[in-house]
Amino acid sequence: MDARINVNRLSKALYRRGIHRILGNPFLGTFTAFLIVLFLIRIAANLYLAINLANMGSRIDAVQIAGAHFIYLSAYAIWVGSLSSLRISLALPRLCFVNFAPGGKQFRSRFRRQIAFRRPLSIVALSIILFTAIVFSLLLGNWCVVVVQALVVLCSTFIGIFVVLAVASWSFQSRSEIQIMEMLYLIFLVALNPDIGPFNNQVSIFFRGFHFPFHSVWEIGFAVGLIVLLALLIPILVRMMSAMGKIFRKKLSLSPMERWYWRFLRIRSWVLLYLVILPVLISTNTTPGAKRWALVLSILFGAVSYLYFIAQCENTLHEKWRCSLFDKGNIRIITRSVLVHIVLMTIPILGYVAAK
Amino acid sequence: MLNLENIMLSRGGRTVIKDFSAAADRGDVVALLGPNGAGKTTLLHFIAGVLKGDSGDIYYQGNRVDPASADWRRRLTYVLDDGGIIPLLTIEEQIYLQCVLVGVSHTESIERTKLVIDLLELARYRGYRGDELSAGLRKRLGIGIGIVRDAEVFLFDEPFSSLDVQAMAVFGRILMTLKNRGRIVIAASHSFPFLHNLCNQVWTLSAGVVANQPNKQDLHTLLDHPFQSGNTSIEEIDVPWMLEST
Repeated sequence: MDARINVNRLSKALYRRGIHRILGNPFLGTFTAFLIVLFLIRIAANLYLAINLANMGSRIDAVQIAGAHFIYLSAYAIWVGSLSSLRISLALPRLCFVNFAPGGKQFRSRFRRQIAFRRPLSIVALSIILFTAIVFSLLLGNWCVVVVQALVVLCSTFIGIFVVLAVASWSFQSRSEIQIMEMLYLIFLVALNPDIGPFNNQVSIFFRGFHFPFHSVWEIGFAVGLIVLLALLIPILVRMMSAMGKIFRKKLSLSPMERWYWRFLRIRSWVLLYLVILPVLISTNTTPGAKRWALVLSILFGAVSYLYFIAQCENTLHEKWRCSLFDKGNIRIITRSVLVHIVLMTIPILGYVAAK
Repeated sequence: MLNLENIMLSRGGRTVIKDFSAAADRGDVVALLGPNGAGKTTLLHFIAGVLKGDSGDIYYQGNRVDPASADWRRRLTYVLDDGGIIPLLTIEEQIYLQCVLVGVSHTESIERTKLVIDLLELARYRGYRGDELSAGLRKRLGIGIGIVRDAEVFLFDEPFSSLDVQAMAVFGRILMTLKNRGRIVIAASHSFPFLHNLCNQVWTLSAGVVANQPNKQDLHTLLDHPFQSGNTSIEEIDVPWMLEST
């Protein structure tokens, strides 16, 4: 036995093995890795472009570009980093011998702290922040503004990570659930598409074509606060929905068939659709074309969701009971599911009509 | 003396244990018996502070105990049904970790780890991680982790399941040691024939109703069950969908 063994080393080993033994679905893991690469390429390309343009003599809004990148990395750390550290924390099972040892609680919190400090703001994210701060301080000829920005973002990100971790560990139970959330947040981040462009005769950063002034510390603090709120919104919604589901099931004492039906309906994905589509439909800044596309996408989602539902029902009925959805007595499933999907679909349509 | 008074426990909205009271003294080995779903694990979870009860109290040496308190964790060790191990740590790492978490010094922890590994014949697998072990080895490791520390109350959930005969014999010796040294042991098990020579108390649970301290006739019925004694001619069950292969 290695005589250098100690609790700290064991905690680190658990962390290291937790990362390598992909604690989740390998396919989702690969896809997430691909998205992270895209995310990094996006940042690198922007920084490269900004530095090149500055060298060619263009006027650069260095404070805004640096601030936007800090915020972008902060969103990554708070959304994706906290969730992935929560997933790695499952390397220490919720119920194991550690629960019954006097020093167990301390060991668990030491392990969680270790992941929370290492994972979300990984060495890559920290290096980018440092690099951005140094380069843009040089471009600006004044290090104070950018360095203060970076420090504010770092501090508020750390606070945000701990808040999100506490709420998310109370909401999410399974590894795959956490991994799916990680992936969705990453898709959202990549889709934000930060790009370099001119604004008021200066080169600035735009997120999906929108310019955000990240000049003052307050604006930056507000942005990080908003990121934390957004990160908290989904775990809270998930928790609320599962609580409502429990009450709903208890009150109506659903039959096994009905429970099965609700499980397949994937009500959570509908809520997610509303969260994404409704702001687009309601917003006054969105063009009519974008609204039309949002409606088309939600109708498409409804159709795909219905087909998925029907296919799942048919497969399960065939596998478990050797019968078909179209057999006598099962027509209720079809009619009910059509009705429920129509009701669910009316919300985006009503949103579109109201916005018109 | 450990006293459980009027314990009532529910799981998933269903009352599992109703009005359970029992007591165990130093040196008692309690066999906790009952059919599947009777609430044996639930009761052990409650004593260990994993589950909160609806009502009822635990008293130890005359004082009321908070099962979730750090003081109770110092006095109690609990070996879960699946061993309660950490899948990503090796056998020796886990035993060492348990020692350190209960406040044993580094050198002493290494000594104890070696001893327990040898006792439970885990030396060949010392570098294996929890998720690389078979069910029996996990159970052995769980027992090892449980006994590498000293405690006043030892809880074992299904300690004999998945163990081979040699490991069962070792566990029997462990129970005898604990009994002779005045520890309280509560073992939930379906393997009563292995336990009955060692235990001096039997608590039985049956579908939410407690038949505490069963009479001799009940125990004889249990021991004389053809499956327990091994003297049985096994009859087929009626499964019409399993046709005889031609």
